[in-house]
Amino acid sequence: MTAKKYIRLLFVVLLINLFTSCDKFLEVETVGRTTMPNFFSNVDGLKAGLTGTYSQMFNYYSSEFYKYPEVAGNMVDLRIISENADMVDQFNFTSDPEQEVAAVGGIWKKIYETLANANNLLEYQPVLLVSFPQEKAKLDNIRAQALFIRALCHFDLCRVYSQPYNYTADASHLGIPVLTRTPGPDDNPARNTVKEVYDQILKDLLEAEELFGDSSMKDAYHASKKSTQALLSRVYLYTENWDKAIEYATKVIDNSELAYGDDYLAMYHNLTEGKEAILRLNGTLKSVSLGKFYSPLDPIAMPADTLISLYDDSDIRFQLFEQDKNNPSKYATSKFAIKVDYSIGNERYDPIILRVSEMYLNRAEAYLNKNDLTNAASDLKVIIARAMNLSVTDVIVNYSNKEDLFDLIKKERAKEFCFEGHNFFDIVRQKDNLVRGQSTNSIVKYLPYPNDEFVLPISQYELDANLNIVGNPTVN
Amino acid sequence: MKVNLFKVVLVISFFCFFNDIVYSQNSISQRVVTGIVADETGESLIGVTVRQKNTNNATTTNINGEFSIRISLNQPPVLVFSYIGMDIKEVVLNSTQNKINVQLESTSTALDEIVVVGAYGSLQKRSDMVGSAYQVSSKQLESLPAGRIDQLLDGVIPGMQVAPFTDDASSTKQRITIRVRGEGSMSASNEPLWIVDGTKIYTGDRTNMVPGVSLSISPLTYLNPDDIESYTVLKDATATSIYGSNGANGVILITTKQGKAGKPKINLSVQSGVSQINKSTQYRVLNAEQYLTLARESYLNSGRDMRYFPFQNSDLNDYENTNTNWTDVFYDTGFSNQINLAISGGSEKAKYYVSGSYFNQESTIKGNNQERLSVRTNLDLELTSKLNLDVHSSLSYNVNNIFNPGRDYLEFLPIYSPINPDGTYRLYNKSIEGADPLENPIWKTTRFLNSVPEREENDHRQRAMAANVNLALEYNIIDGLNSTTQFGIDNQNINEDKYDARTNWSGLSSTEGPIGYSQRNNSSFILWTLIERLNFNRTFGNHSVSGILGGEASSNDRVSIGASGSGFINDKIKEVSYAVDRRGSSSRSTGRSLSFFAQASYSYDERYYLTVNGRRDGNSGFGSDAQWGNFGSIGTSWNIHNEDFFDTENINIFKLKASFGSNGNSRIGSQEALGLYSYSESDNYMGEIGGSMSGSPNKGLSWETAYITNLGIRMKLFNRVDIELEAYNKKTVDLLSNLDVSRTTGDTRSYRNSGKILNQGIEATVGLDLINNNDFSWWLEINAAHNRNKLLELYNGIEKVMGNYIWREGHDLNTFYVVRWAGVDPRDGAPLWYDSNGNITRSFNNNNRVPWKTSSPTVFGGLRTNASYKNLSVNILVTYVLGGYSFSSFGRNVMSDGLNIMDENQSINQLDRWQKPGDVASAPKPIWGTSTGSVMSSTRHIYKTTHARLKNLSLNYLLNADWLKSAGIQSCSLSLIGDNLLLWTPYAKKDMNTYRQSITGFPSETSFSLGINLNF
Repeated sequence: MTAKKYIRLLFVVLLINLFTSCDKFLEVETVGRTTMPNFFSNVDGLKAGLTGTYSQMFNYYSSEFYKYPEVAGNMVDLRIISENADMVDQFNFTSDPEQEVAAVGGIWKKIYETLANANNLLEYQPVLLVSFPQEKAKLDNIRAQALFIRALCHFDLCRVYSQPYNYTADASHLGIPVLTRTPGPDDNPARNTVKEVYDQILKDLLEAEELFGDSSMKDAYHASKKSTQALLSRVYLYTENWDKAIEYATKVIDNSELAYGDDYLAMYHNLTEGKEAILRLNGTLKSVSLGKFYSPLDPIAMPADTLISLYDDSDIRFQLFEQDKNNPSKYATSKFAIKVDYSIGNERYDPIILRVSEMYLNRAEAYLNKNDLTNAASDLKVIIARAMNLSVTDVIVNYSNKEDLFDLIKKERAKEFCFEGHNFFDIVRQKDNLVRGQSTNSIVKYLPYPNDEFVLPISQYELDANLNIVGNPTVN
Repeated sequence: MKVNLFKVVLVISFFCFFNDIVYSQNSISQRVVTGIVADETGESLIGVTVRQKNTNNATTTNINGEFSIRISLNQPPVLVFSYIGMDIKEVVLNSTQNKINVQLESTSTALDEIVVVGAYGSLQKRSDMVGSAYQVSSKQLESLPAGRIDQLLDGVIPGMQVAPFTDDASSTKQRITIRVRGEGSMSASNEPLWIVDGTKIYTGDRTNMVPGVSLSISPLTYLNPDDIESYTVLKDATATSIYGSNGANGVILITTKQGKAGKPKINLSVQSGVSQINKSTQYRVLNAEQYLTLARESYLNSGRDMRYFPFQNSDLNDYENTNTNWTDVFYDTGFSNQINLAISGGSEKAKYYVSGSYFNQESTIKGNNQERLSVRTNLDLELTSKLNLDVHSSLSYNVNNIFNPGRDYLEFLPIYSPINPDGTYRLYNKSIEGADPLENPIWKTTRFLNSVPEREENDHRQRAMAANVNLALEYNIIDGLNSTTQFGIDNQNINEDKYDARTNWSGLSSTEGPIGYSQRNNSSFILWTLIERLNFNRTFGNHSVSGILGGEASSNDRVSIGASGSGFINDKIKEVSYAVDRRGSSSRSTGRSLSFFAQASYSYDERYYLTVNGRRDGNSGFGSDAQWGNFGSIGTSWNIHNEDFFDTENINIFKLKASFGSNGNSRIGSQEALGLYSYSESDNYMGEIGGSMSGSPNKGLSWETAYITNLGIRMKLFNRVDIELEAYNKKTVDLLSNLDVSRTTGDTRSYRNSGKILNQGIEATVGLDLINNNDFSWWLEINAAHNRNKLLELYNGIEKVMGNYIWREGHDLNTFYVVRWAGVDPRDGAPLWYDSNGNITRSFNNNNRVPWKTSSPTVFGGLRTNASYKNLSVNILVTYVLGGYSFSSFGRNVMSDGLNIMDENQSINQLDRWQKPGDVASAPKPIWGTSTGSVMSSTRHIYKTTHARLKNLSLNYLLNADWLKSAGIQSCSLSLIGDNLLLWTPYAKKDMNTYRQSITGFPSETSFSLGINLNF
């Protein structure tokens, strides 16, 4: 009888065990598999995730995204314009929604990949903050960098796939999906308005600025308080919030120095981060695609005559061009050419995202739009002085009205930031027509503003997979 | 008086005796009847129910078939004897008869009363079935090869298709795919669930792949078919939905043998066989003469100078006089041996079945053999009157030696010899490669990747220990209600050794010289299942009620460890520890599930049946939002033949059944739902390694669900013809598939639930009892199944090209997507294709691909028959496939029209080539080393798969000599067995390779064996 009772008890215990521990039973500890919860189970995991996110950001900055505003602008020609040549569809404004691997789908995919990785960091950071309160400083810094990256991703996507902020009065036109967490396969996010996208960008950047606290810039290869402020200056400029653009440009300028002379050239040639770089991405052991695209030995893209004609011979920036040996009237840029000894495997091309010169020109443009032409001119002079190796007081800027001065600022931007991912975006946000030189080999010589062609189509793969996304007019 | 006294004493003693048995009962109104019950052969029957008609007086027979029953005198003295598988017999006793011996006869149609094993301890007579299940006893399959149990079922189960995993020569231990009622899934498993004695066994991953080792050997080869009593395949929703999330692809229940109370029975069987390749299924390639003719012609056609034809005799090669038949080099006669010893018996309280078995097989593909040592112990113990314990366990040790010649046996040039004149293996060939500026030929010595020394010098061995233990403790709570705790463990531990010797190219580097390469892998799997269930079964008058209520917890763990090394001093050392370069790896995975299930059945008067099932499943592999799923089914059947109004002599059984329900499929990788991160050098930034998302999370990832409707009709006519027809409609929704996703997820493809597939089909089984008398009997069973597969819905209609196939809405899942071949232009011998508009084109372009036929057959099935005359019987199994197409990836390379001729021997189909204008040929003009696109995937390489196969023919003779009996041998039978004897294909042509030669990448094996079976 006792045996029987014992067995009965055993049954009861088994049943109770079975029925009460249901949910715990299914929580499998996945040793050895890097599921997301496992990967982000400690601060080192989050740090590794941040490293990976930078790696992804490099991937998008070193490819189509960085080339697009150059080839779509009016300062660059493609040497090879055969079918399937790199970036030729963006050069000729014939972008096909079916183009999945190259620019049309590639930019979208690479930036959203980076964004997903940044969002994953932001999702798990608060969890870690609870488990590791003593690591708050480190975790806050990671969060600030992730927020910066998220803002930059939204900003860059919006610049490629949406008309500029000032395209409609209230920026209510089509933006891109704003994502503050990685969506699941069935979430299928829709496009937000450009206003909503920029609101999120500003929100993230302001939070990042605060989280960075008083931390100083460690290097130019990671997001910092300074890069956040610099990007804020640019974003405010795009949104035509002139006061804020001035405020943030000033914050950066007050803490920074421009690079002069050899230091300026070293930024491009010497495998160093450069004195005035605020943020650039490090290409160690990464794709050398930019180096190939602009290689002076065999360039795919080269400066258009419109660009070369802007320079004075004594301009230091003209030293960043190399004459074509076979065709002396043609040049190639040497902004992506290494001029110091390096071993094979050590070559790298670090795309610049933000540098101090931009802050001067951003501020000049903002002052100009506030009709403060004097201040605008004096910021412009700083850049010209550095370029011509003059003291600022020796620089004379001739203008008779606001338009004249604006024109000078635009030219200076073109000379200063060529091949650094600004040209086409500047044309569009400044509501200019696209006017190319007569010698261009593109089939497009002129496109008036506003223009549906000023944005890339959304890739057909995205439209097929996500029915909530609408294409861009005309181009899709 | 003396006599009277004697009589009195006798009467008194009789009464005393009587009283002893009937203790203090009133003996006036009762009497006792005793006797023995036996079957037709005189063998006593144990457990026969003996009942006085219309009373509760009942008993059962004991070990010796004896019974003793008290019968009431105020009821008619009629005894009813009933026993499963036997006709019910009523015997009317006369008033004085107190002793009776009864002989029961097997039910004329044994199939009828077959007791079908169901889910979680349920048993049902076939005529009581509501769901769709097909059971086959191992006795009917005993003459089939014992290598692997999945192959045994080919052609036997209606609606179940058994096919090789690939047509390519990728593995000599080929994976087999089993499809029950078509393919219902895209990315999750399409394989059925295998259950042995009530608990799951591990049979590999979703495509039967075994992770952690370099070659997958099906765990189903570890089971000894001789230990198996029956196979039951559950197909429709009422039968499978109690298996919930893993039932959608069908469930195969294996029941192992159990002992029966009685004297020990000893069974010894020995079987030995030889096998040869079936020459008619061997892919035919060119001999040396044909090869050189074609090679020279191709060379000339390419406009080259014949002075520099590569294959000219040199010190290394005698091309002119070499004619190697590589098939002979790689194939030989195979052998197989099997010895089985089983002892069973026991008492009412303890029954046992113990067996030991040894099986070995030497494949016709040299270098491949399989060895299996297995032991099984099945104990069924009655611990107390209320408590039973069943212990079923098996242990099997398996050694497989593996060598895969791949396509070498066809592709090696016949003008190469495997061995150099000095007897060493050939490792180099010498040929001409163009000319120097002085027009002298340039001789080149090239490596010959000869796999013959690899076979002889390398090792590739897997040793697997497979243990399966099943414990069931059954407690009888009240009459008709049992509680069962069952615990099953399936453990497989696989050890793999690979060593590539320094003396051939696998372990010899052209730059580093001899290095040797060693690999050691260990993969271990533990699948345990705990089931706690209540089974209820009661009959109240005409009402029968039964039910199951239970829970199941299961966990599947895998641990794999691998080490590899290269750089050995000699070929004797082999172990990784002594290698110069060493690498290690390890991985593991865990999947768990938790389930609750219930079944309720009701039947009235053996006429109306109703069954309802429900199951709730939780699975650790799915997203937190969708970890639990519910499945259910309802089924009903009607035995019209038991109705009073139905009174037709010639229709013995007339049954209708219908069911509807859902079940699931959860078998994808584990943890796909959680999102995966990779940590690698490719994610470095500034040289520092980082991590990035490699799979985006899907918190809503869940089961795919199949809704199955099943309709069935069964009729048995004239007690001889048994026809069963079933039609089903199986719609799988929320398909688990790895499909395009919005790039905003950070990924391009992701596992998700989307899409619908429909499988509709008809299955027919016809059983014929043609002749049945004492000396001569002959039965025949034919089954046929037709399945139509249709992809109803894809995610947003986005179609997907999968190699030569396409997933497109409205088409079969196995629809080809290829360019249509239009033959050879008679004018110049150029290959022709149709473009997508149906116009003939001379250039190959993938954009001209169109959805073409499907690889799914129209009808498939099998035929089994048994004829016996006195002691001699014949068994035949034929399988067949009608319709369907197959792409021969295997034969494609050797139909290259000159492109690959310098490196690979070619199919004999290439001889029918274009040579001069006007030639109507099947092969284009061969041009040396030049691609015209003719080798690309097109309908040229697709064959019809219609075929029939005489899979098995066996002759058995039962020796019944007296001298055997005196030697203690109860019975002795001899058998002669032939396997894979014939293959018939309608489109086979003489001197042409077709489907017949390219079914699996290797020629099929025909084997003959002799067996002897002794019972002591």
